[in-house]
Amino acid sequence: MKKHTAKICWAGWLLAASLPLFADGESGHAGLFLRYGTGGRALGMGRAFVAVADDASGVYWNPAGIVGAERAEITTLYSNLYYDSQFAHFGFVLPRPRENVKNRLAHFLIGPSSAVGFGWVGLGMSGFEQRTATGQLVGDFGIGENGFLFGWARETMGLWGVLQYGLHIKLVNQHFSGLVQSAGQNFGKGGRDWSGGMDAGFTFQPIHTPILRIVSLKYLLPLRIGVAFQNLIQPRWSGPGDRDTFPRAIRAGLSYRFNLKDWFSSTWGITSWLEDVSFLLAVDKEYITDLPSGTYFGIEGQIPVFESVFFQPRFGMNNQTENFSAGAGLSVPFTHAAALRLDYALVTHPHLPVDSRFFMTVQFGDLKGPGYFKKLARRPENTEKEARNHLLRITALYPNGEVDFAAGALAGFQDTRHARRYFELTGGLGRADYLLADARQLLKEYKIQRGRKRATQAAEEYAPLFMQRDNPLRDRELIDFGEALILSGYANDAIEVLGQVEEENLRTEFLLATAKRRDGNLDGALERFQNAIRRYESEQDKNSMVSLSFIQSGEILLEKQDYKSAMLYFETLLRNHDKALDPEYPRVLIFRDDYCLDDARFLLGLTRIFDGQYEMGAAGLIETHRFYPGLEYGQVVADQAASILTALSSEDWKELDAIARSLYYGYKQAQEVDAR
Amino acid sequence: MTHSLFRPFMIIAVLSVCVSAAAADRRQIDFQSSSGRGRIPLSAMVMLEPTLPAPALVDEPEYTRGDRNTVYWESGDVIDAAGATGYEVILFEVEAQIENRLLWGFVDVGVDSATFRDLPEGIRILYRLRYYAEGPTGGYAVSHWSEPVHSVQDWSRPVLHAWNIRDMQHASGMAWVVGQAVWIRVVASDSLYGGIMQIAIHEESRFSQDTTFYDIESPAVYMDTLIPYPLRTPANEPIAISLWVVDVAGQVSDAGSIVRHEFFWWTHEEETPGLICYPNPFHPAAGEKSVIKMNQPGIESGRIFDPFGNLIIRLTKPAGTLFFEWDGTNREGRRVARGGYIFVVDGRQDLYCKIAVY
Repeated sequence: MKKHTAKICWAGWLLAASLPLFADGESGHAGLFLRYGTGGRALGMGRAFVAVADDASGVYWNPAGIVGAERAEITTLYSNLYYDSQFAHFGFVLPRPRENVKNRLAHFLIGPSSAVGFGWVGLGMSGFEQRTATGQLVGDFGIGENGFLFGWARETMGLWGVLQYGLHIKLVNQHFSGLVQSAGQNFGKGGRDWSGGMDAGFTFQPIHTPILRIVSLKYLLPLRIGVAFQNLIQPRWSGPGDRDTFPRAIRAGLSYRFNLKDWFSSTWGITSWLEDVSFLLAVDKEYITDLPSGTYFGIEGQIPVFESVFFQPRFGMNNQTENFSAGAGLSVPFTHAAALRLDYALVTHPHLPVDSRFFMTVQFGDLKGPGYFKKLARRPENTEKEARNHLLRITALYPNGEVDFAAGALAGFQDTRHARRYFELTGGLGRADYLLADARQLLKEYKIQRGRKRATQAAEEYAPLFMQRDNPLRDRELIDFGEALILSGYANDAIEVLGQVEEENLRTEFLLATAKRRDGNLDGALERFQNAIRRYESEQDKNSMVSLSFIQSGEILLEKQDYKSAMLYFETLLRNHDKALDPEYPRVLIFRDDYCLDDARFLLGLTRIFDGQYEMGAAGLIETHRFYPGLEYGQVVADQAASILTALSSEDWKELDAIARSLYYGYKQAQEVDAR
Repeated sequence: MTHSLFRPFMIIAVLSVCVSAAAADRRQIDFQSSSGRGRIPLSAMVMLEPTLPAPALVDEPEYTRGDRNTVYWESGDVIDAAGATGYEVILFEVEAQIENRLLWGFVDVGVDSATFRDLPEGIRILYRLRYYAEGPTGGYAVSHWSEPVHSVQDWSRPVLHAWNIRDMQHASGMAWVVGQAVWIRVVASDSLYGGIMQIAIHEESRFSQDTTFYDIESPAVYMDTLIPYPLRTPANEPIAISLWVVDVAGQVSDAGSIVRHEFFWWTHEEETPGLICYPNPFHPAAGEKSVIKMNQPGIESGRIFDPFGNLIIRLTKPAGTLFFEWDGTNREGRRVARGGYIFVVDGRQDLYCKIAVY
């Protein structure tokens, strides 16, 4: 994780350092007042906002973003620009206006996946001296430019991600007020002009996007991509004999929220409150017809101060006007259903005075956040897809308090195909369970190294909880933890963990026995295996731990050279298993046969030979080959079959014993490799 | 006063006066008297001794323009004076003495002038007049010559080489000066035989259609001078000034060289510590330019911004001028959109001017 952090930080600094090398400034084209930007967050972030745009200023920056607002919001701005120019903005956004709408068209336009917004932007300049061609002072006049924006957006989603799209219609007006018709000056319509246009945009948040599946959800969900198309329908100012058309522009951007808790290990000693700290990084690139491109970079921190109170410092750079900007915001709830955000932005300029601006935003109404989508997900009338998408929406808002619920539901039922990714997102026991199951499967497939790695990862998920003073793990979770430790090779730790289980069951007994055996405590292991057999023999099935307990008990006794006892365990296992076998079954792996029977028959043969029952022992070995030709020990015996038969026919018991011992040695070697 | 050309035989290019030669001349001069038409032999005329009182020619100007000159007299006075002595004037004789050459001719009674043509330039020409009269007994007499008058011919018009108004700022659209009183520099010349005598300044505007004449104390063949001129037109009004010069012979400089300067003037009161931008708003699409006028020296550059602080263009001032000009384009050479812009002097955020593009 540190590598990723370092790489991203370097990329950000390189980008910031390279900005002054770019050509600067867009200059003098029509409609700049609609492209300059508004919103305390956006201006404090150097106007890198097209992929963010999730508040009332989204009507201005990217109409698609307004559907991402969590509450109805009103934002205002009044600012003195340079030399007594005034810039004002009013924005209103209403996300997901109606939850239950029957009419299909209305549902499409104002349903729970849509949003509407309105914005007004005004630029005023006063104090112009009207003068004739001979400099004669006629009077004063002013210039006003207004834009009225009516926005709509909608959200659609699927397993691939969340796509928001929207457009706004705009009416623009320019007015020269106070002009007097004088000698040599003709102002046509008296300096008033109305025009209309349209912008569109979209944002995209990947979830299980194919090309990005290699990235964990934890590091993918904070990413957003935004694109805005300005002036698809171009407004224009009409002057006497000429027209100024608003240029088309495309702005594309990325935003990424760094949640500190995901980038720094909890073992680093960072205090817990830093886990709720995040930084939003945004980069925009803008291409305007016939004008130099613009590059924008911004960063915003989100630092909890008190409960529900956040402090948001900001910094931005761009190669346009201001070069550097900075700002801060404070978000404070003032009723249970409303919040107030105060923002301040400071804008520098290489040739003009420093400019500072204040903004106020009121958020009100129901919160359309994770809780809202959880409520939607539980509606009985949902189709499966609708329910899944609501859960995905909660997940997409990571991090939040409902992610565990949503990810768990998705992994368990709605989207099991991506269970691993959900468990990686939530971490903790859900992930641990998943990893442990994956480890078991890999080990079954004899992918030893990978299986061990999975088991280790699973254990790492359990460990922090086990280490807590109050240890919230329950018996099942302790047993899973113990198994993960055993599979990853930490038998001693597994014994300690399994010792915490309050109500022991077959699995507890078996795992403790296995752990003790791995730890070298054979007597302790034998005792536990025998407990397992005694307690649960009546419940044995072909693949149960009871069978494994029989095998391992026999192996321990064989190791202790208690051949008679060992034979007893092997014979009992085979007898119990044989009862369930169809005499005609071909003894191949595809049936639920499990390796333990292969092991049992093989070991029984060896034990008999060691016990001096050479003929029965040899016969047992040959049966291994005959019954389980495809299994490992069937193959082993097959390789030695000729030698065994020769020794048997010639009654060369010494030779037979030697063969048996070499086979046993090989068996032990294989076990040790498995244990490693 | 009328004058006429001489009778044909008076148009003489070069004539040597030789009494002996004239004596052999059998030509006769026709004349008109109260008793009708008569004729007198030229040979008899030249033998007459002057006995009658001399007439008088009207004074001539020192210089006469062109290659011809007309001399004048009061024939009535002469007739009366001769009549008092019982004689009737029958002819006038007028003579031009050009160095060692004479031009002369006869003029009928009742004509008060005579014109000499093809006169040389730069030579002081003496003119004399006398008359012939018939006595009561039919005899002829001649008067004494009049006191000579003289004049110098000046063939060439003066040349106005150049003139301008000092400190005029030649901005696009219309030039301007500061202050109502201007200084006009005039460079003119005339032929070696003449001299610039007068400067005429014509001011034309809504308020004035006047011509002012400045006399040159000592007419000069070449002049390069500054003359003060108070403008009559109010400030910030278009004015057209045209100027010409007059030489000693009254000739005016060629009309083709009369240049009109169109401009206006600013009052000194508007020279506040600031900038003035005009015309405002201006229309660059129609070719207009915005002039940003200042009165402070040492300002060499400034920048135009939009209200958001975007740099539109950087302007530099032509050396020796007091203004910037902006054609409404940005750094890429594209015309900016309609709206408001701000010009700020580099390093002086307090010196700015708001410019509107229409």
